Amino acid sequence: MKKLYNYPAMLIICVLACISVVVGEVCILAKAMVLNPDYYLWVIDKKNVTDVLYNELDEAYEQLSVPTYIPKEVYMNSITREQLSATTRSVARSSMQYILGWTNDKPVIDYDFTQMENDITDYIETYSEANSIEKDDVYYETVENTIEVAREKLEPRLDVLLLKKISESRFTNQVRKYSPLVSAILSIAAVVTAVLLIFMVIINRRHIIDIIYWVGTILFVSGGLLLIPSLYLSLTNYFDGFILSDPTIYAAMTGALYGIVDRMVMVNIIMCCAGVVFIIFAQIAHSIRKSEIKRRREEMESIES
Amino acid sequence: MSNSDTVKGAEQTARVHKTTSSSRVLRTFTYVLTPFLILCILCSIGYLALYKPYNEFISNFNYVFSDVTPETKSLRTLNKYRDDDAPIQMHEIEVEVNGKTEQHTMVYPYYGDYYATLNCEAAGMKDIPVYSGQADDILMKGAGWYNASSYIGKPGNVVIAGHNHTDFYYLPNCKVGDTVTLETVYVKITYEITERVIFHETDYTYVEPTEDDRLTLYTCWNNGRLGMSEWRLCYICKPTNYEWKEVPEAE
Repeated sequence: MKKLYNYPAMLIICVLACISVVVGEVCILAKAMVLNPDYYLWVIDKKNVTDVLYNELDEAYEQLSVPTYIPKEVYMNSITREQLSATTRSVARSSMQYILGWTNDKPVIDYDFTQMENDITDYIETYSEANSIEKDDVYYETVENTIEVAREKLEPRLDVLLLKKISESRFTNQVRKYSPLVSAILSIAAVVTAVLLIFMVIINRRHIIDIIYWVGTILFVSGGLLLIPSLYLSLTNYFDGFILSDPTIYAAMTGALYGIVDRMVMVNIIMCCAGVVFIIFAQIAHSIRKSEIKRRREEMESIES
Repeated sequence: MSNSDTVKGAEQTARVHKTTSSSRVLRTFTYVLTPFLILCILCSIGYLALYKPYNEFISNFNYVFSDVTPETKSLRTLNKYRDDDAPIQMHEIEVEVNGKTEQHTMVYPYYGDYYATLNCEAAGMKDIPVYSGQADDILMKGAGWYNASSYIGKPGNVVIAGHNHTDFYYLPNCKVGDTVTLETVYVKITYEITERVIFHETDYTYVEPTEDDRLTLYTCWNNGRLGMSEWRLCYICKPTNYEWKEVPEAE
Protein backbone atom coordinates (compact mmCIF):
# COMPACT_ATOMS: atom_id res chain seq x y z
CA MET A 1 0.00 0.00 0.00
CA LYS A 2 1.02 3.57 -0.54
CA LYS A 3 2.79 5.45 2.20
CA LEU A 4 1.01 8.58 3.42
CA TYR A 5 3.40 11.49 3.86
CA ASN A 6 2.99 14.30 6.39
CA TYR A 7 0.33 12.16 8.03
CA PRO A 8 -0.44 14.12 11.23
CA ALA A 9 -0.81 17.48 9.48
CA MET A 10 -2.89 16.02 6.68
CA LEU A 11 -5.08 14.21 9.20
CA ILE A 12 -5.89 17.42 11.06
CA ILE A 13 -6.57 19.34 7.86
CA CYS A 14 -8.76 16.48 6.64
CA VAL A 15 -10.85 16.55 9.83
CA LEU A 16 -11.39 20.30 9.47
CA ALA A 17 -12.20 19.96 5.77
CA CYS A 18 -14.78 17.25 6.52
CA ILE A 19 -16.51 19.55 8.99
CA SER A 20 -16.67 22.40 6.48
CA VAL A 21 -17.94 20.06 3.73
CA VAL A 22 -20.70 18.76 6.04
CA VAL A 23 -21.69 22.31 6.99
CA GLY A 24 -21.75 23.28 3.32
CA GLU A 25 -23.83 20.24 2.41
CA VAL A 26 -26.38 20.99 5.12
CA CYS A 27 -26.64 24.59 3.88
CA ILE A 28 -27.15 23.44 0.29
CA LEU A 29 -29.86 21.04 1.47
CA ALA A 30 -31.55 23.81 3.44
CA LYS A 31 -31.47 26.21 0.48
CA ALA A 32 -32.56 23.65 -2.12
CA MET A 33 -35.33 21.98 -0.14
CA VAL A 34 -36.34 23.25 3.29
CA LEU A 35 -36.22 26.96 2.39
CA ASN A 36 -37.42 26.50 -1.18
CA PRO A 37 -41.17 26.95 -1.86
CA ASP A 38 -40.92 24.86 -5.04
CA TYR A 39 -39.99 21.82 -2.98
CA TYR A 40 -43.33 21.90 -1.21
CA LEU A 41 -45.17 22.19 -4.53
CA TRP A 42 -43.24 19.11 -5.66
CA VAL A 43 -44.35 17.27 -2.50
CA ILE A 44 -48.01 18.10 -3.16
CA ASP A 45 -47.74 16.80 -6.72
CA LYS A 46 -45.53 13.77 -6.22
CA LYS A 47 -47.10 12.44 -3.03
CA ASN A 48 -50.69 12.53 -4.42
CA VAL A 49 -51.77 14.84 -1.62
CA THR A 50 -54.68 16.16 -3.70
CA ASP A 51 -56.18 12.69 -4.07
CA VAL A 52 -55.91 12.06 -0.33
CA LEU A 53 -57.55 15.44 0.32
CA TYR A 54 -60.40 14.71 -2.09
CA ASN A 55 -61.10 11.35 -0.41
CA GLU A 56 -60.95 12.93 3.01
CA LEU A 57 -63.47 15.60 1.95
CA ASP A 58 -65.70 12.91 0.50
CA GLU A 59 -65.78 11.19 3.91
CA ALA A 60 -66.20 14.44 5.83
CA TYR A 61 -69.19 15.53 3.77
CA GLU A 62 -70.72 12.09 4.03
CA GLN A 63 -70.57 12.49 7.80
CA LEU A 64 -71.95 16.04 7.53
CA SER A 65 -74.87 14.75 5.47
CA VAL A 66 -76.21 12.91 8.54
CA PRO A 67 -76.94 15.87 10.84
CA THR A 68 -77.88 18.22 7.99
CA TYR A 69 -79.91 15.67 5.97
CA ILE A 70 -78.34 17.14 2.83
CA PRO A 71 -76.81 14.47 0.57
CA LYS A 72 -73.02 14.37 0.26
CA GLU A 73 -73.28 14.98 -3.48
CA VAL A 74 -74.68 18.47 -2.91
CA TYR A 75 -71.46 19.42 -1.11
CA MET A 76 -69.10 17.50 -3.38
CA ASN A 77 -70.64 18.60 -6.67
CA SER A 78 -68.57 21.78 -6.88
CA ILE A 79 -65.28 20.27 -5.67
CA THR A 80 -62.76 19.18 -8.31
CA ARG A 81 -59.28 17.80 -7.92
CA GLU A 82 -57.90 20.51 -10.18
CA GLN A 83 -59.31 23.27 -8.01
CA LEU A 84 -58.05 21.57 -4.84
CA SER A 85 -54.59 21.16 -6.35
CA ALA A 86 -54.42 24.78 -7.49
CA THR A 87 -55.54 26.09 -4.09
CA THR A 88 -53.25 23.88 -2.00
CA ARG A 89 -50.28 24.84 -4.18
CA SER A 90 -51.17 28.51 -3.94
CA VAL A 91 -51.49 28.36 -0.15
CA ALA A 92 -48.17 26.51 0.21
CA ARG A 93 -46.33 28.91 -2.12
CA SER A 94 -47.68 32.12 -0.60
CA SER A 95 -47.15 30.83 2.95
CA MET A 96 -43.51 29.88 2.29
CA GLN A 97 -42.85 33.20 0.57
CA TYR A 98 -44.24 35.00 3.59
CA ILE A 99 -42.27 32.86 6.04
CA LEU A 100 -39.05 33.49 4.13
CA GLY A 101 -39.71 37.20 4.00
CA TRP A 102 -39.92 37.35 0.21
CA THR A 103 -43.28 39.11 0.56
CA ASN A 104 -45.15 40.86 3.34
CA ASP A 105 -48.58 39.82 2.04
CA LYS A 106 -50.03 37.35 4.51
CA PRO A 107 -51.18 34.12 2.88
CA VAL A 108 -54.91 33.65 2.41
CA ILE A 109 -56.89 30.61 1.37
CA ASP A 110 -58.46 31.76 -1.86
CA TYR A 111 -61.02 29.07 -2.67
CA ASP A 112 -64.17 29.90 -4.58
CA PHE A 113 -67.11 28.66 -2.50
CA THR A 114 -69.77 30.32 -4.69
CA GLN A 115 -70.83 27.14 -6.43
CA MET A 116 -71.06 25.19 -3.17
CA GLU A 117 -73.07 27.94 -1.48
CA ASN A 118 -75.49 28.03 -4.41
CA ASP A 119 -75.86 24.25 -4.41
CA ILE A 120 -76.62 24.13 -0.69
CA THR A 121 -79.02 27.08 -0.82
CA ASP A 122 -80.87 25.67 -3.84
CA TYR A 123 -81.21 22.24 -2.26
CA ILE A 124 -82.57 23.60 1.03
CA GLU A 125 -84.90 25.94 -0.84
CA THR A 126 -86.29 23.15 -3.00
CA TYR A 127 -86.87 20.93 0.05
CA SER A 128 -88.49 23.77 2.02
CA GLU A 129 -90.86 24.64 -0.82
CA ALA A 130 -91.82 20.98 -1.23
CA ASN A 131 -92.54 20.69 2.50
CA SER A 132 -94.13 24.12 2.96
CA ILE A 133 -91.49 25.30 5.40
CA GLU A 134 -91.72 29.01 6.18
CA LYS A 135 -88.72 31.09 5.15
CA ASP A 136 -88.39 33.04 8.35
CA ASP A 137 -85.32 34.30 10.18
CA VAL A 138 -84.61 30.86 11.58
CA TYR A 139 -84.68 29.41 8.05
CA TYR A 140 -82.07 31.87 6.76
CA GLU A 141 -79.95 31.41 9.93
CA THR A 142 -79.96 27.66 9.35
CA VAL A 143 -78.95 28.06 5.70
CA GLU A 144 -76.12 30.40 6.68
CA ASN A 145 -74.95 28.09 9.44
CA THR A 146 -74.99 25.10 7.09
CA ILE A 147 -72.89 26.95 4.52
CA GLU A 148 -70.50 28.07 7.28
CA VAL A 149 -70.10 24.51 8.59
CA ALA A 150 -69.54 23.22 5.05
CA ARG A 151 -66.83 25.84 4.49
CA GLU A 152 -65.20 24.90 7.80
CA LYS A 153 -64.99 21.31 6.64
CA LEU A 154 -63.01 22.33 3.56
CA GLU A 155 -61.06 25.52 4.20
CA PRO A 156 -58.65 24.42 6.98
CA ARG A 157 -57.86 21.23 5.06
CA LEU A 158 -56.43 23.25 2.15
CA ASP A 159 -53.42 24.14 4.31
CA VAL A 160 -52.04 20.66 3.73
CA LEU A 161 -48.53 21.33 4.98
CA LEU A 162 -49.66 23.60 7.85
CA LEU A 163 -47.48 26.31 6.31
CA LYS A 164 -50.18 28.94 6.71
CA LYS A 165 -50.48 28.02 10.38
CA ILE A 166 -46.70 28.24 10.73
CA SER A 167 -46.71 31.63 9.00
CA GLU A 168 -49.03 32.92 11.73
CA SER A 169 -46.70 31.79 14.52
CA ARG A 170 -43.60 33.37 16.04
CA PHE A 171 -41.53 30.84 14.12
CA THR A 172 -41.79 33.08 11.04
CA ASN A 173 -39.76 35.81 12.71
CA GLN A 174 -37.02 33.31 13.55
CA VAL A 175 -36.89 32.02 9.96
CA ARG A 176 -36.80 35.55 8.52
CA LYS A 177 -33.97 36.40 10.88
CA TYR A 178 -31.79 33.36 10.25
CA SER A 179 -32.53 32.18 6.71
CA PRO A 180 -30.31 34.84 5.06
CA LEU A 181 -27.42 33.44 7.10
CA VAL A 182 -27.60 30.13 5.23
CA SER A 183 -26.06 31.63 2.08
CA ALA A 184 -23.37 33.35 4.12
CA ILE A 185 -22.51 30.14 5.99
CA LEU A 186 -22.42 28.23 2.69
CA SER A 187 -19.99 30.76 1.22
CA ILE A 188 -17.77 30.61 4.30
CA ALA A 189 -17.79 26.80 4.23
CA ALA A 190 -16.81 26.82 0.53
CA VAL A 191 -13.95 29.26 1.14
CA VAL A 192 -12.70 27.31 4.16
CA THR A 193 -12.78 24.05 2.19
CA ALA A 194 -10.86 25.65 -0.68
CA VAL A 195 -8.25 27.11 1.69
CA LEU A 196 -7.78 23.77 3.45
CA LEU A 197 -7.34 22.01 0.10
CA ILE A 198 -4.71 24.58 -0.86
CA PHE A 199 -2.92 23.88 2.43
CA MET A 200 -3.00 20.17 1.64
CA VAL A 201 -1.45 20.81 -1.77
CA ILE A 202 1.25 23.02 -0.27
CA ILE A 203 2.12 20.57 2.49
CA ASN A 204 2.18 17.59 0.14
CA ARG A 205 3.64 19.31 -2.89
CA ARG A 206 6.38 16.67 -3.20
CA HIS A 207 3.81 13.85 -3.15
CA ILE A 208 0.99 15.47 -5.03
CA ILE A 209 -0.68 12.17 -5.79
CA ASP A 210 -1.56 11.89 -2.08
CA ILE A 211 -4.12 14.67 -2.55
CA ILE A 212 -6.35 12.25 -4.47
CA TYR A 213 -6.38 10.00 -1.43
CA TRP A 214 -7.19 12.81 0.99
CA VAL A 215 -9.91 14.23 -1.23
CA GLY A 216 -11.41 10.75 -1.38
CA THR A 217 -11.20 10.52 2.40
CA ILE A 218 -12.98 13.86 2.80
CA LEU A 219 -15.76 12.75 0.47
CA PHE A 220 -16.13 9.38 2.17
CA VAL A 221 -16.17 10.74 5.72
CA SER A 222 -18.48 13.70 5.09
CA GLY A 223 -20.83 11.47 3.13
CA GLY A 224 -20.77 8.87 5.87
CA LEU A 225 -21.43 11.41 8.62
CA LEU A 226 -24.76 12.44 7.12
CA LEU A 227 -25.55 9.04 5.67
CA ILE A 228 -25.68 7.33 9.08
CA PRO A 229 -28.53 9.39 10.57
CA SER A 230 -30.45 9.69 7.30
CA LEU A 231 -30.26 5.93 6.71
CA TYR A 232 -31.49 5.38 10.26
CA LEU A 233 -34.48 7.66 9.72
CA SER A 234 -35.26 6.04 6.38
CA LEU A 235 -34.86 2.37 7.33
CA THR A 236 -36.74 2.65 10.64
CA ASN A 237 -39.58 4.62 8.96
CA TYR A 238 -39.18 7.06 11.81
CA PHE A 239 -41.73 9.55 10.50
CA ASP A 240 -44.49 6.96 10.16
CA GLY A 241 -45.47 7.65 13.76
CA PHE A 242 -46.30 11.28 12.97
CA ILE A 243 -48.80 12.43 15.54
CA LEU A 244 -51.25 14.25 13.28
CA SER A 245 -53.44 11.47 11.95
CA ASP A 246 -55.49 13.68 9.60
CA PRO A 247 -54.89 11.76 6.33
CA THR A 248 -54.06 14.76 4.14
CA ILE A 249 -51.73 16.46 6.58
CA TYR A 250 -50.10 13.12 7.39
CA ALA A 251 -49.49 12.35 3.71
CA ALA A 252 -48.12 15.82 2.99
CA MET A 253 -45.89 16.17 6.06
CA THR A 254 -44.43 12.67 5.97
CA GLY A 255 -43.98 13.05 2.22
CA ALA A 256 -41.98 16.26 2.74
CA LEU A 257 -39.85 14.74 5.52
CA TYR A 258 -39.15 11.51 3.67
CA GLY A 259 -38.37 13.50 0.52
CA ILE A 260 -35.59 15.33 2.36
CA VAL A 261 -34.27 12.15 3.96
CA ASP A 262 -34.31 10.20 0.67
CA ARG A 263 -32.40 12.98 -1.07
CA MET A 264 -29.84 13.02 1.74
CA VAL A 265 -29.40 9.26 1.50
CA MET A 266 -28.91 9.40 -2.25
CA VAL A 267 -26.45 12.29 -2.22
CA ASN A 268 -24.38 10.88 0.61
CA ILE A 269 -24.21 7.39 -0.90
CA ILE A 270 -22.85 9.02 -4.06
CA MET A 271 -20.31 10.96 -1.99
CA CYS A 272 -19.19 7.84 -0.11
CA CYS A 273 -18.84 5.86 -3.34
CA ALA A 274 -16.94 8.74 -4.97
CA GLY A 275 -14.66 8.83 -1.95
CA VAL A 276 -13.94 5.11 -2.19
CA VAL A 277 -13.24 5.47 -5.92
CA PHE A 278 -10.79 8.30 -5.26
CA ILE A 279 -9.01 6.28 -2.53
CA ILE A 280 -8.69 3.23 -4.77
CA PHE A 281 -7.63 5.41 -7.70
CA ALA A 282 -4.90 6.98 -5.57
CA GLN A 283 -3.51 3.52 -4.80
CA ILE A 284 -3.74 2.46 -8.45
CA ALA A 285 -2.00 5.67 -9.56
CA HIS A 286 0.72 5.06 -6.98
CA SER A 287 1.17 1.42 -8.09
CA ILE A 288 1.42 2.45 -11.74
CA ARG A 289 3.97 5.15 -10.89
CA LYS A 290 5.97 2.74 -8.74
CA SER A 291 6.11 0.08 -11.43
CA GLU A 292 7.12 2.75 -13.97
CA ILE A 293 9.98 3.86 -11.70
CA LYS A 294 11.04 0.25 -11.15
CA ARG A 295 11.03 -0.41 -14.89
CA ARG A 296 13.20 2.68 -15.55
CA ARG A 297 15.65 1.67 -12.81
CA GLU A 298 15.99 -1.80 -14.29
CA GLU A 299 16.55 -0.28 -17.72
CA MET A 300 19.27 1.99 -16.33
CA GLU A 301 20.90 -0.87 -14.45
CA SER A 302 20.92 -3.04 -17.54
CA ILE A 303 22.43 -0.16 -19.55
CA GLU A 304 25.15 0.40 -16.87
CA SER A 305 25.96 -3.26 -16.64
CA MET B 1 34.91 -6.98 -2.91
CA SER B 2 35.81 -8.92 0.25
CA ASN B 3 33.62 -11.62 1.75
CA SER B 4 32.88 -9.46 4.85
CA ASP B 5 31.66 -6.62 2.64
CA THR B 6 29.39 -9.01 0.77
CA VAL B 7 27.99 -10.38 4.01
CA LYS B 8 27.46 -6.91 5.40
CA GLY B 9 25.68 -5.95 2.22
CA ALA B 10 23.47 -9.01 2.43
CA GLU B 11 22.66 -8.31 6.09
CA GLN B 12 21.80 -4.73 5.27
CA THR B 13 19.57 -5.89 2.45
CA ALA B 14 17.90 -8.40 4.77
CA ARG B 15 17.31 -5.64 7.37
CA VAL B 16 15.83 -3.35 4.69
CA HIS B 17 13.53 -6.14 3.55
CA LYS B 18 12.50 -6.82 7.19
CA THR B 19 11.66 -3.10 7.74
CA THR B 20 9.78 -2.92 4.46
CA SER B 21 7.58 -5.93 5.36
CA SER B 22 6.44 -4.53 8.70
CA SER B 23 6.08 -1.04 7.36
CA ARG B 24 4.03 -2.43 4.51
CA VAL B 25 1.57 -3.84 7.00
CA LEU B 26 1.47 -0.51 8.84
CA ARG B 27 0.97 1.38 5.60
CA THR B 28 -1.90 -0.87 4.62
CA PHE B 29 -3.62 -0.36 7.96
CA THR B 30 -3.06 3.38 7.82
CA TYR B 31 -4.25 3.65 4.25
CA VAL B 32 -7.42 1.64 4.79
CA LEU B 33 -8.32 2.70 8.31
CA THR B 34 -7.64 6.44 8.13
CA PRO B 35 -11.09 7.28 6.70
CA PHE B 36 -12.75 5.25 9.43
CA LEU B 37 -10.52 6.84 12.06
CA ILE B 38 -11.59 10.32 10.90
CA LEU B 39 -15.21 9.17 10.81
CA CYS B 40 -14.93 8.00 14.43
CA ILE B 41 -13.28 11.25 15.48
CA LEU B 42 -16.01 13.34 13.87
CA CYS B 43 -18.80 11.12 15.23
CA SER B 44 -17.33 11.61 18.70
CA ILE B 45 -17.11 15.36 18.20
CA GLY B 46 -20.69 15.38 16.93
CA TYR B 47 -21.86 13.29 19.87
CA LEU B 48 -20.23 15.62 22.38
CA ALA B 49 -21.47 18.75 20.62
CA LEU B 50 -25.05 17.51 20.20
CA TYR B 51 -25.45 15.62 23.49
CA LYS B 52 -27.04 18.47 25.39
CA PRO B 53 -29.38 19.71 22.59
CA TYR B 54 -30.33 16.09 21.87
CA ASN B 55 -31.42 15.48 25.47
CA GLU B 56 -33.32 18.76 25.42
CA PHE B 57 -35.30 18.05 22.26
CA ILE B 58 -35.59 14.25 22.07
CA SER B 59 -38.75 14.17 24.20
CA ASN B 60 -40.39 16.61 21.78
CA PHE B 61 -39.38 14.51 18.78
CA ASN B 62 -40.61 11.33 20.44
CA TYR B 63 -43.91 13.02 21.19
CA VAL B 64 -44.36 14.16 17.58
CA PHE B 65 -43.22 10.90 15.96
CA SER B 66 -44.25 8.15 18.36
CA ASP B 67 -47.90 7.75 17.42
CA VAL B 68 -49.28 4.46 16.18
CA THR B 69 -48.17 3.80 12.59
CA PRO B 70 -50.71 3.28 9.78
CA GLU B 71 -49.48 -0.31 9.54
CA THR B 72 -50.52 -1.00 13.13
CA LYS B 73 -53.79 0.84 12.69
CA SER B 74 -54.62 -1.35 9.69
CA LEU B 75 -54.51 -4.41 11.99
CA ARG B 76 -57.36 -3.03 14.13
CA THR B 77 -60.54 -4.79 13.13
CA LEU B 78 -62.81 -4.04 16.12
CA ASN B 79 -62.14 -0.37 16.78
CA LYS B 80 -59.80 1.84 14.79
CA TYR B 81 -58.85 3.78 17.93
CA ARG B 82 -57.28 0.83 19.79
CA ASP B 83 -55.49 -2.48 19.17
CA ASP B 84 -57.72 -5.56 19.07
CA ASP B 85 -55.88 -7.11 22.01
CA ALA B 86 -55.92 -4.01 24.22
CA PRO B 87 -56.56 -5.11 27.84
CA ILE B 88 -60.01 -4.63 29.31
CA GLN B 89 -60.04 -1.67 31.70
CA MET B 90 -61.78 -2.87 34.87
CA HIS B 91 -62.01 -0.74 37.99
CA GLU B 92 -63.48 -1.37 41.43
CA ILE B 93 -65.66 1.40 42.81
CA GLU B 94 -67.60 1.92 45.99
CA VAL B 95 -71.18 3.10 45.75
CA GLU B 96 -73.79 3.86 48.38
CA VAL B 97 -76.95 1.83 47.97
CA ASN B 98 -79.72 2.43 50.52
CA GLY B 99 -77.26 3.80 53.04
CA LYS B 100 -74.84 0.87 52.65
CA THR B 101 -71.50 0.98 50.86
CA GLU B 102 -71.17 -1.66 48.17
CA GLN B 103 -68.24 -2.57 45.98
CA HIS B 104 -68.84 -3.02 42.27
CA THR B 105 -66.77 -3.47 39.13
CA MET B 106 -66.88 -1.01 36.27
CA VAL B 107 -65.50 -1.50 32.77
CA TYR B 108 -64.12 1.69 31.26
CA PRO B 109 -64.44 1.81 27.47
CA TYR B 110 -61.68 2.81 25.07
CA TYR B 111 -62.44 5.68 22.73
CA GLY B 112 -64.58 4.29 19.92
CA ASP B 113 -65.75 1.21 21.89
CA TYR B 114 -69.36 0.17 22.10
CA TYR B 115 -70.36 1.28 25.61
CA ALA B 116 -74.08 1.05 26.33
CA THR B 117 -77.59 0.53 24.99
CA LEU B 118 -80.21 3.27 25.33
CA ASN B 119 -83.96 2.73 25.41
CA CYS B 120 -86.96 5.03 25.72
CA GLU B 121 -89.88 2.94 24.64
CA ALA B 122 -92.47 5.66 25.13
CA ALA B 123 -90.75 7.73 22.43
CA GLY B 124 -90.02 4.78 20.16
CA MET B 125 -86.27 4.68 20.86
CA LYS B 126 -85.26 1.03 21.08
CA ASP B 127 -81.81 -0.48 21.53
CA ILE B 128 -79.91 2.62 20.47
CA PRO B 129 -76.15 1.77 20.53
CA VAL B 130 -74.03 4.21 22.50
CA TYR B 131 -70.33 4.44 21.67
CA SER B 132 -67.52 6.10 23.59
CA GLY B 133 -66.64 9.41 21.95
CA GLN B 134 -68.38 11.93 19.72
CA ALA B 135 -66.18 12.08 16.63
CA ASP B 136 -68.02 12.29 13.31
CA ASP B 137 -67.22 8.71 12.36
CA ILE B 138 -68.46 7.42 15.74
CA LEU B 139 -71.75 9.30 15.48
CA MET B 140 -72.25 7.62 12.11
CA LYS B 141 -72.48 4.28 13.95
CA GLY B 142 -74.65 5.28 16.89
CA ALA B 143 -75.07 7.76 19.71
CA GLY B 144 -71.89 9.06 21.34
CA TRP B 145 -71.05 9.26 25.02
CA TYR B 146 -69.13 12.46 25.71
CA ASN B 147 -65.97 11.02 27.23
CA ALA B 148 -65.18 14.15 29.24
CA SER B 149 -68.46 13.61 31.13
CA SER B 150 -69.02 11.10 33.94
CA TYR B 151 -68.74 7.37 33.34
CA ILE B 152 -72.10 5.61 33.34
CA GLY B 153 -72.71 4.56 36.95
CA LYS B 154 -70.42 7.16 38.49
CA PRO B 155 -71.76 10.30 40.17
CA GLY B 156 -72.23 13.37 38.00
CA ASN B 157 -73.49 14.29 34.55
CA VAL B 158 -73.48 11.54 31.89
CA VAL B 159 -73.79 13.24 28.48
CA ILE B 160 -74.87 11.41 25.33
CA ALA B 161 -75.43 12.96 21.90
CA GLY B 162 -76.80 11.59 18.66
CA HIS B 163 -77.72 12.72 15.17
CA ASN B 164 -81.27 13.96 14.75
CA HIS B 165 -81.82 12.11 11.46
CA THR B 166 -80.60 8.72 12.60
CA ASP B 167 -80.31 7.34 16.14
CA PHE B 168 -81.93 10.29 17.91
CA TYR B 169 -84.64 10.75 15.28
CA TYR B 170 -87.34 9.98 17.84
CA LEU B 171 -85.79 11.97 20.68
CA PRO B 172 -88.18 14.91 20.13
CA ASN B 173 -91.03 12.46 20.94
CA CYS B 174 -89.80 12.15 24.54
CA LYS B 175 -91.86 13.84 27.27
CA VAL B 176 -91.23 14.77 30.87
CA GLY B 177 -92.00 11.73 32.99
CA ASP B 178 -90.94 9.14 30.39
CA THR B 179 -88.64 6.31 31.46
CA VAL B 180 -85.17 5.96 29.90
CA THR B 181 -82.85 2.99 30.49
CA LEU B 182 -79.15 2.93 29.92
CA GLU B 183 -77.46 -0.47 30.11
CA THR B 184 -73.76 -1.38 30.06
CA VAL B 185 -71.97 -4.67 30.81
CA TYR B 186 -71.68 -3.70 34.46
CA VAL B 187 -74.86 -1.75 35.33
CA LYS B 188 -78.37 -1.01 34.15
CA ILE B 189 -79.69 2.42 35.20
CA THR B 190 -83.28 3.55 34.93
CA TYR B 191 -83.93 7.30 34.57
CA GLU B 192 -86.95 9.55 34.51
CA ILE B 193 -87.02 12.56 32.16
CA THR B 194 -87.40 15.68 34.26
CA GLU B 195 -86.69 18.57 31.91
CA ARG B 196 -86.79 19.51 28.20
CA VAL B 197 -84.46 22.30 27.08
CA ILE B 198 -83.52 24.00 23.81
CA PHE B 199 -80.12 25.68 23.96
CA HIS B 200 -77.69 27.36 21.56
CA GLU B 201 -74.68 25.36 20.35
CA THR B 202 -72.32 27.79 22.09
CA ASP B 203 -74.02 27.22 25.48
CA TYR B 204 -72.02 24.51 27.25
CA THR B 205 -74.00 24.67 30.52
CA TYR B 206 -75.80 21.40 29.92
CA VAL B 207 -72.72 19.35 29.10
CA GLU B 208 -70.65 20.56 32.05
CA PRO B 209 -70.12 18.51 35.22
CA THR B 210 -72.90 18.74 37.82
CA GLU B 211 -73.18 18.12 41.54
CA ASP B 212 -76.22 15.89 41.11
CA ASP B 213 -76.43 12.62 39.18
CA ARG B 214 -78.13 12.98 35.80
CA LEU B 215 -78.24 11.81 32.22
CA THR B 216 -78.24 14.48 29.49
CA LEU B 217 -79.40 13.48 26.01
CA TYR B 218 -79.15 16.02 23.21
CA THR B 219 -79.33 16.37 19.46
CA CYS B 220 -79.53 19.05 16.75
CA TRP B 221 -82.83 20.88 16.77
CA ASN B 222 -83.91 21.63 13.18
CA ASN B 223 -87.63 21.58 13.84
CA GLY B 224 -88.21 19.94 10.46
CA ARG B 225 -85.80 22.09 8.49
CA LEU B 226 -82.81 20.91 6.49
CA GLY B 227 -79.33 22.06 7.29
CA MET B 228 -77.09 22.50 10.30
CA SER B 229 -78.99 24.15 13.10
CA GLU B 230 -77.36 26.32 15.73
CA TRP B 231 -79.79 24.98 18.34
CA ARG B 232 -79.80 21.77 20.39
CA LEU B 233 -82.71 19.85 21.89
CA CYS B 234 -81.84 18.38 25.27
CA TYR B 235 -83.53 16.09 27.79
CA ILE B 236 -82.33 15.94 31.38
CA CYS B 237 -83.02 12.68 33.18
CA LYS B 238 -82.68 11.76 36.87
CA PRO B 239 -81.72 8.22 37.93
CA THR B 240 -84.38 6.21 39.73
CA ASN B 241 -82.83 2.74 39.93
CA TYR B 242 -79.44 1.04 39.65
CA GLU B 243 -79.05 -2.67 38.86
CA TRP B 244 -75.39 -3.58 39.27
CA LYS B 245 -74.19 -6.69 37.45
CA GLU B 246 -71.46 -9.23 38.12
CA VAL B 247 -68.63 -8.61 35.71
CA PRO B 248 -66.62 -11.74 34.85
CA GLU B 249 -62.88 -11.35 35.43
CA ALA B 250 -60.82 -10.56 32.34
CA GLU B 251 -58.87 -13.55 30.89
